[in-house]
Amino acid sequence: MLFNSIEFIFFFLPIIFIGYFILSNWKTSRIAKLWLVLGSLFFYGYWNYNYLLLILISIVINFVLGHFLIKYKHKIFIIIGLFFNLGLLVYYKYMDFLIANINALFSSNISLLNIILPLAISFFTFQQISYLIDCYKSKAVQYTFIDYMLYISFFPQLIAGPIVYHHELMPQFRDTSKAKLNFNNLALGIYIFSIGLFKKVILADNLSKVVLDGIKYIDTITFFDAWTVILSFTFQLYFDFSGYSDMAIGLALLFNIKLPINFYSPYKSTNFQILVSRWHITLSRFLNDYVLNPMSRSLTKRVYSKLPFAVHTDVKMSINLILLFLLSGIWHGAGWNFIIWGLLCGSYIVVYRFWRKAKIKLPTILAWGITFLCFNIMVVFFRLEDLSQALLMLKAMFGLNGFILPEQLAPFMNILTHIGFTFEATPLKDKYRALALIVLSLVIVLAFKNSSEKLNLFKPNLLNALFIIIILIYSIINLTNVSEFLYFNF
Amino acid sequence: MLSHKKWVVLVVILMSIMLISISTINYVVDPYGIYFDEGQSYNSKKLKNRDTYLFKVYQLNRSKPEAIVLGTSRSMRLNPSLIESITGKKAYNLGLYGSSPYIQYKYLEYALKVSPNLKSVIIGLDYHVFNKSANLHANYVEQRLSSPFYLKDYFSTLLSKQALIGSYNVLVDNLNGTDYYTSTEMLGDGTFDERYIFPDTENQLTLRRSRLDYQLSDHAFDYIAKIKELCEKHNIKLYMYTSPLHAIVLETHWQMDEWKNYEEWLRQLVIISPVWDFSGFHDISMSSLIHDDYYNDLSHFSKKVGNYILYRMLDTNLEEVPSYFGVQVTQSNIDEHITQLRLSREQWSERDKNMPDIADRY
Repeated sequence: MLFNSIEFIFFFLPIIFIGYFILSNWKTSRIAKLWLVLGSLFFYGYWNYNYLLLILISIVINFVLGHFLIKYKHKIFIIIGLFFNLGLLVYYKYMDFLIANINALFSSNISLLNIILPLAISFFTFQQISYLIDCYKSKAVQYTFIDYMLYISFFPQLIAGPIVYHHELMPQFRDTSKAKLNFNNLALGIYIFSIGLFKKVILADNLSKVVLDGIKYIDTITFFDAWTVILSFTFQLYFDFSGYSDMAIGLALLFNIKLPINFYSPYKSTNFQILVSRWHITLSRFLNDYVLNPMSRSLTKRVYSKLPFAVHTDVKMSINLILLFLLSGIWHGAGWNFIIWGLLCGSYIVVYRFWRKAKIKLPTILAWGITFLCFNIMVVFFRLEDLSQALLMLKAMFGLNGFILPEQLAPFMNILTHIGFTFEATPLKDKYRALALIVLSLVIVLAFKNSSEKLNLFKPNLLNALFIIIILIYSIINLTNVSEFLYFNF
Repeated sequence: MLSHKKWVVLVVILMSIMLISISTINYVVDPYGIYFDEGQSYNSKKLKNRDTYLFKVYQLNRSKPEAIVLGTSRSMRLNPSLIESITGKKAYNLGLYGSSPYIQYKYLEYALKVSPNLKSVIIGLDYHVFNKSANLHANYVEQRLSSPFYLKDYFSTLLSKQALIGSYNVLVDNLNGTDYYTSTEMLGDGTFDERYIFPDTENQLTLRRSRLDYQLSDHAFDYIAKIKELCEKHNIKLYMYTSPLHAIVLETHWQMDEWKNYEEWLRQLVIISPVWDFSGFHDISMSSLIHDDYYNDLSHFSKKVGNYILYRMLDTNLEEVPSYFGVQVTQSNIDEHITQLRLSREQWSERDKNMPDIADRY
């Protein structure tokens, strides 16, 4: 089920919400939690009930493994756990990619499995791996099965994060005071959910129309259209995913649960390291805690220390970072485009780190421009799975097939003909609308406070109420053309 | 500053009032014509280009007819009131733009669900929707017919921006007597309003529908056979007829070497059931598009011709129907009929000329 769907807003959410707080008044909170678990499983199964069994098996096996790890601390259980979780991920997400590459490499003819990616598998797998590792390291205690099920399946964060640690959620699930209706959280929840819904339905979905139209002409795309399409996608990606995260945070607040923030104005960043640290924050945190740190220790112990020459710390860190973002790229999708995307991301950070070492200070506007430009180049590989299409897009963006602007702009920008620009008819539809959307998006991401800041500054006054009513009504009456969240495939 | 509780209550109440108001406006104005059969002075003209696949489901639901007409836009010229006066059965025209036999079968299934007293089905057969490469019409939504309560329709027509803008446009056009956004293209009985004039490009578009890659679809014939089975199972009288294509369209088929496909189409149809064939080169199909009243445009015959078709099939008022118009074709007379069809081309004085040139001035 989508957060931006009629079924969710008008039926699922009110029923789950009212049911939860009615059941919370009973002697034990277990019934209310069970209600939330069942609701969350319904929410998950609504898309494809066949995969309900998969998530249930995954939850049961990880819970049992966690129990054994806490009790016996035996390494074999963590190995089984990692094999099981990563095995599921590899089978469902990467098997067809692997087969296609084996076929290409060895000219074999192995049939593709055409597996439909189970919803949210990348997210619930990561959460469960982090739980098992913490059990092994004695950083987790034994939870009840219902609490554990709720931790994995809690519907606001189940589909696309934020990726939450057990020690963030479990104490909240066990806090009985959270089972009471809290109007402070309710107001905050409605406020942030409405902002997220507006970002998704009004901004991201309108930007996506520009992107879809532009990609139709990818074979002959030229300078202006290419930049319009990529800038639209850059903003679509942000509003889509950060909107989803806002909605998730808002929905959890309705149930008095606080989820960690996932975005913090990444496009305001003036260097790539900060940009990455503000983008999908809970994924970066997971990768840092459970991949980068163990990998760095392991590489230092097993590889760098055994080399016949000394490796500088900066070089070691650079290799580790590139490997980390390569993994991040693979996590985002099974395709060479995501591998290139990950490598580019890692390389940008490495370049920035050496730049910082060289202590060359750039004017803020220039630093921002370079960072934003690099991000736009990187997202070409995020959007276009076909590498030949990605190269066509990049060629057009760099003007390699001419600096062509649409003829409609000729009266205002004719002066540019002196520096090599030409004015021709280009196929992208609704250019003025697309440009207006890009400018509006730029103003919103640069000039306004982000959702987390707005949440912290929230005051329950009349102006805020009117603002929320307007954006909520406008979003709801635009719901009929429901589209899929981009992050559902990850 | 309000308390958090007051803020929440205020937002929820104002939100509810606004959502109910928007829904009420859209319900009363009914810009897509799905909630009321007849409009009032402020909303009698509905939005242009509204989706027949959507509103006919709701009109059918309310009308609960005993007789229905199935087919493409051409079948929308068969008048339910005439059927009612001849047979005494309440009728509704369920013709749908570009509907294939599969869609027609699904709508028949649906009609049986909502109208258990269905006794007669008249189905107009059109050669162009039997093409193997023809896709399902973009407006066809299977879920609408299969689910007992298709929520999305209610939200899209009551609680959407398009519906709200549509309501405003309907009100403005009806109150000012203008037709910028509205038309009477479709009438309450499911038929086409002949006062509506298609754009000038319609004739050329019709000719472009003749395709070089045409292949008869077995799937389409299967669904015609299923329609027949379904009718037999429910004791429903089925009338099948082929549309009287204009001579320009027939000649185009001939010139594109599609005639053998057309004949094969007729042969396969009569294997399933006897068919009333109104096609061929005769005074009606060769009539002028500009000066005569037998065709609304090159693709669509007029309601006058629709009446002739009904008279012929329902065997009444035959003195009004030209004797050459309509032959019941069965497996026993198909060869003879096809020979006659070929011969009838000799009467066409414009044969072997360039049809697209002729179409606009004929």
